[in-house]
Amino acid sequence: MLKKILSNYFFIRLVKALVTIFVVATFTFFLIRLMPGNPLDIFIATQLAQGVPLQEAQERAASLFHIDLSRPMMLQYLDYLKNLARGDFGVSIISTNTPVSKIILRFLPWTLFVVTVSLFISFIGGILLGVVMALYRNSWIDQILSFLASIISSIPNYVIAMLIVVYFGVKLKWFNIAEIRGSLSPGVKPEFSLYFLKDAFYHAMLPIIVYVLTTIGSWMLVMKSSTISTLGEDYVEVAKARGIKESRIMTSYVARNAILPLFVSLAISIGFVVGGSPLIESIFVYQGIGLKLSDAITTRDYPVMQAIFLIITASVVVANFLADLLLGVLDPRIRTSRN
Amino acid sequence: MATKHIIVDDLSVEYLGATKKIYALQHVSLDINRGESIALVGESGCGKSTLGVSFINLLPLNSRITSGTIKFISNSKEIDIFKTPTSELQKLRWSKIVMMAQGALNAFNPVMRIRDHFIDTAYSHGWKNKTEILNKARYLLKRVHLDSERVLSSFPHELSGGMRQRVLLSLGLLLNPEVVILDEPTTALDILTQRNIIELLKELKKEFNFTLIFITHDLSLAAELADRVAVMYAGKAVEVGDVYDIFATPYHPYTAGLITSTPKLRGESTEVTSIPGSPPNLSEIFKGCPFYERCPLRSNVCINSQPKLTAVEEKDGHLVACHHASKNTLEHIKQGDWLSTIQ
Ligand SMILES: Nc1ncnc2c1ncn2[C@@H]1O[C@H](COP(=O)(O)OP(=O)(O)OP(=O)(O)O)[C@@H](O)[C@H]1O
Ligand SMILES: [Mg+2]
Repeated sequence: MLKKILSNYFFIRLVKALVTIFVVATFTFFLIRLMPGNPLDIFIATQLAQGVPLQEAQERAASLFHIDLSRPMMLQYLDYLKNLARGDFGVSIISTNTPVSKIILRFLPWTLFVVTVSLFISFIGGILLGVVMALYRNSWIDQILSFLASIISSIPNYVIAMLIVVYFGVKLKWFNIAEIRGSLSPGVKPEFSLYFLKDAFYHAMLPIIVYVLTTIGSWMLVMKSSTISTLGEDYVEVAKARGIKESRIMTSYVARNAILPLFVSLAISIGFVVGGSPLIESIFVYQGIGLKLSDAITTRDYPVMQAIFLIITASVVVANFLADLLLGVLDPRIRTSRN
Repeated sequence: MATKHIIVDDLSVEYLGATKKIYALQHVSLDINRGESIALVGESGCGKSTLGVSFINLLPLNSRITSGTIKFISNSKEIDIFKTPTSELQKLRWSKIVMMAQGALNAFNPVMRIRDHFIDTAYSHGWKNKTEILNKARYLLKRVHLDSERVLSSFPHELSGGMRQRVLLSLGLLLNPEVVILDEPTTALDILTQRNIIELLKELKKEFNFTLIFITHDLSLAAELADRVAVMYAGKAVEVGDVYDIFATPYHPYTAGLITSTPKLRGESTEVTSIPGSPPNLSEIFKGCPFYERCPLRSNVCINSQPKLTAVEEKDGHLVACHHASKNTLEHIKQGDWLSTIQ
């Protein structure tokens, strides 16, 4: 019995996942402490830049931060692990006395919202367009779409974000940049109402457009090539000879098989949903976890950085694990090879 | 006189390749009789599969039919395959004419159980009753000597090549087709499995009484299964006749060459001979005989005049396309040292 569990595919996967998370957590712990400067230095430097005399800046720092950075690194690490095991991410250094978990709970939902919506639109749209491109390959439709897809997926997302802000915002004035930044308008509270939803979407619109534009191209191209190769499979030919309707062949025989290889990339993307994109959120001043991460990096807020990195790692690992399960459900060949 | 079931008349098909055209079928005419089994034989690339898919008008997108018709006679009505609208063709495919393309080992959708392949096929042709479909499927699977319950709930990858071939045969008989076309059904199988499939085909043909068109490059399989043989060379039918006539008195030197180069496993000699040279390039239209380059009997007439498929004098229904056709061709070939020997 025990032997059976130990050799079970999913048990092995689970152990691997946990080990991965642990290793990454350890590495981030030490790596972020190797970054030049520590929270105190950075705080004092900013105070100095604001014209505060050195003496006073040091006193302020001492009264604000109750951390002892001189404690041996190994002991700090053990503390960190001990707290982590209890589900405690610690307390932010900069926003004194605020638990890290509270910060994450406040910022994470916004990122999840924007990136999930974008990923959904981009994946579905990319798959549909990819199938269309494959079906009408070499037609003008395919040529235009392929061209756009390869151009757009090679432009970095922050360039598109800047372009939107500068061109459509500042130059054409299609929207008011000052008003659209942030994740909600001042005074609007999260609640179940159309008013709130409308406001949330209004603020999320630009980041969503940028994410969709920058990711849809690669979905389109991958789906196109996968569909083209599936169209050439013998079973598609035989299905036609069996007199099965074109629409049924396209869905159950072609698209159903062509989509399988895309699941791994989808899983990885879902994992990264949690991380958002610090650059995009900074450009649009969107109050998501990415923005918080870039703040934490600038101020060397170790506990916050650590927690965010850990969450990103965990979600990538978990998403891969789930994708693996799902792939087993979708592809019987994989299911067999695991038993 | 046998009644005709399919009439191929003057069929030409070309493919648009990346740089050039390929004339895969050139003015092929062939009558297929109801209830017979006919083998289409020829070297790789001679256009057998192209003819095979033409029967159900399922040619690839980069192909064009440049001349000719295929008429299918069902319930004493003549159906012009190339003029039939797609919706009608879809009904005809698999219900009247079953065409099992080359590469049948991958004939099944890898994410669907065998059961769903039967159901999918039957639903597409208007069946409604699932129990009825599955009962018929069970009967047919037993008929090809398979464990029907196990097979029905299997995924394709869980079955061996020989099993898949059998499943495909029983799936082919689901709708009681009039014509069954098999394109190289045994090529990917080992000799023993191959033998079993051939035996099975004979049994099935007896029970279900379909017209069988059997595409192969292996003349010995043709000899075993077919009543009649059509020999193809470079996109043309060069000789058509009863299997006995073709083997005993081939008129075309190519046919004679194929027969003598079939390895004979009986007797002390196991030497294999083959026709020297290789098939011609199909990207040009021949002025003369396509076999000219390799022919031991060639003469100047063969350069500029294309031989037509015509009946031989001595025998009804035996057709040959050769300027030097004669009942002595086989003798000539055996005496000469034309065939190269591979020890
Ligand atoms: N889709 C296609 N596009 C271009 N050329 C093709 C295509 N299909 C077949 N051909 C060419 O047409 C000719 C006839 O091909 P076909 O498949 O009908 O031959 P075959 O007799 O079935 O050969 P084999 O024994 O190898 O199956 C060959 O020269 C082949 O290269
Ligand atoms: Mg072929």
